[in-house]
Amino acid sequence: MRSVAIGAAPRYAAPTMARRIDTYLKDLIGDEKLAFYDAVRDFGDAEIAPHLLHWEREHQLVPDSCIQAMGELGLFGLPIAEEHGGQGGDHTDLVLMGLAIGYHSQAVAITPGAAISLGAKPLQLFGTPAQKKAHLPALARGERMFVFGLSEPGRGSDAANPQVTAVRKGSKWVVNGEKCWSTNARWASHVVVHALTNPSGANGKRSTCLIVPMDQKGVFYQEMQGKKVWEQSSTGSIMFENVEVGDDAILGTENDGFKVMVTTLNGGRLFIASLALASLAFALDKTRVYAEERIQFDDQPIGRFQRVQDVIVDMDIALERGLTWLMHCCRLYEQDKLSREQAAKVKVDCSRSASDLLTLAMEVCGGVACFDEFGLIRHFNDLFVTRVGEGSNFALKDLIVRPLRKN
Amino acid sequence: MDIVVCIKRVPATDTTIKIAADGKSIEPAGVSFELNAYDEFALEQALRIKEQLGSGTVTVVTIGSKDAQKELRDTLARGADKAVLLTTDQWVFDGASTAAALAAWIKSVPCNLVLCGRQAVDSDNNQLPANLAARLGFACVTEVAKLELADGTFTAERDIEGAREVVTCKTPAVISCQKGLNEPRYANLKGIMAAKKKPLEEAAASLPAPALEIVSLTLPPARAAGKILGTGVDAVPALIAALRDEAKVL
Repeated sequence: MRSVAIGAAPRYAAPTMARRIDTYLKDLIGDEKLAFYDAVRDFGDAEIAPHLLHWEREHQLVPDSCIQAMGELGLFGLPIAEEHGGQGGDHTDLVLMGLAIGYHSQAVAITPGAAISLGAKPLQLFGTPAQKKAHLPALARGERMFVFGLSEPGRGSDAANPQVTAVRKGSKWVVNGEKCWSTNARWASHVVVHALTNPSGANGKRSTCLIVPMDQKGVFYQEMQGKKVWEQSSTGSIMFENVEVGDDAILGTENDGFKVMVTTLNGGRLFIASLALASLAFALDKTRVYAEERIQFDDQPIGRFQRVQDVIVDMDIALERGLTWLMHCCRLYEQDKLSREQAAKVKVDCSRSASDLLTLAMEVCGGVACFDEFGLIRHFNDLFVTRVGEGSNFALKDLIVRPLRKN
Repeated sequence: MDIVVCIKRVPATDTTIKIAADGKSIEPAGVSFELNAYDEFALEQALRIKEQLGSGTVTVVTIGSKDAQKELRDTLARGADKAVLLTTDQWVFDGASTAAALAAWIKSVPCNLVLCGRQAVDSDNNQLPANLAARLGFACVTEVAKLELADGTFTAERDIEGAREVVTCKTPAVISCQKGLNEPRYANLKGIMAAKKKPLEEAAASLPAPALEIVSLTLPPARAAGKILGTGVDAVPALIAALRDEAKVL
């Protein structure tokens, strides 16, 4: 439900600076997309921002009430077709949600973000009509969540060769092993397990994706403790002990599971780029306002110093560049023309420029930047995830370099 | 039930107002606008009544320039069936002429209930609901903080000085909505996309000449900076002296 502010802000007070990101988005997206972004931004301002500090200090995950509110707003069903109970939007809408909610908290934004781009997306792309009918409507409402079982304690970038195995036994598959770093594990109804099914196959043709209910016998979930990034997001490890599923659990084709994983991650990388830019957008606004308010020497704001201005200008340049590039990639994605290299490049660049600039932004603000209520430290910590999440930047450069080395 | 919701596009409450060169109007450049907050309660209530009855229409109307299409689209995205923009290039500030133009249009459409915000937060005139009801010959209940509908009768609760008043009325009626009546919904993506296909009609507003004239506008005086008189208990005598002798509030 919408909180309406009446008389909350003093009408004649000094101007609060408009969000810089909004001025850029206006020229990059159409009216309808902008109206959606505005609605999610207003929701974030009213329903998320006021509670964040409390959730952080209490070390809470995103509360169920917030998940329910995001579900009512349709955020879990953005790119899911209306016939499957979704909002009938596209990937750009998902990215706009990342920008609007990530401005306050990447951890909150990733909850519907991962539920869609890592949970519902593989089902949309590779699911049978029966699988889609069984799951998509509940996923679209946020009442059910799929998690993506890709990373393992011993497998990150070398994802084509999982250590989790699925062995055929009569008409069943028997799954054993452990997945970790699974976003949204706390709320998961099902996990899509990427398991080794054909050890002697060609590289990339050794694995199969299986949909496993979390309440199946032999599935154990544990929240990973001690994580200091994306603190309100659930990150779980999931154990499989002789878990039996049938052929109807296969998502995509047998021994072609790596394709499911790789295709899914492509779109997810655009979402991670949106989170990096959202943090940068927040930091830019926070820093430029602070630079005008912080008075030092001769009763003048520190915003008059060129070294301070340099940081602010570089953030502004990085934000406009990143947004323009990201929206271009979204257009290519909608046309099914986005290459893996392009998705990787925009993710690498947005995450590293934003996190490099955050360090400088915090240096401009000084001691106050160390405190949670100022907000920059939250984005500083979370930006690290954007460098290593959904393909570490180092590993993605291997992908990016390929077309550069072809003869 | 055919419900008409009257809305107004107003300067956002966090925008900075500047007086225009004529000294009688506000400078629109650099001002961001939004849907009047009280009108959000009116729209939400209209949608809930329609949902409760399972039938009827919700039509949103405003008077203004083409810029108000944005606010009208927003109401369609949240669930209104139809929007009507009564166009004018004038700055409409007189509650009586607004009511006259709205009443003329409402008489031309099926309508048993008019919902509006208790007031617009820009002009704060608080005139439209009663004036409109008088022109339409409808019952009028203003500043409603709770509203129930059963068997064709509305039961409305209003906060009055030190008490709460409960009144009932039947349609046709004009009801103005107070904060606390409901929690307005957000537009979702599906609604925003559906809004594009819903009718947004335009007609010229038939506005009579205003009965009022704005002579001048001035901003409130800037607040003086605060003064720190000391800290802890020791500062209390100085604080009391300042409140009594300087601020003269004791």
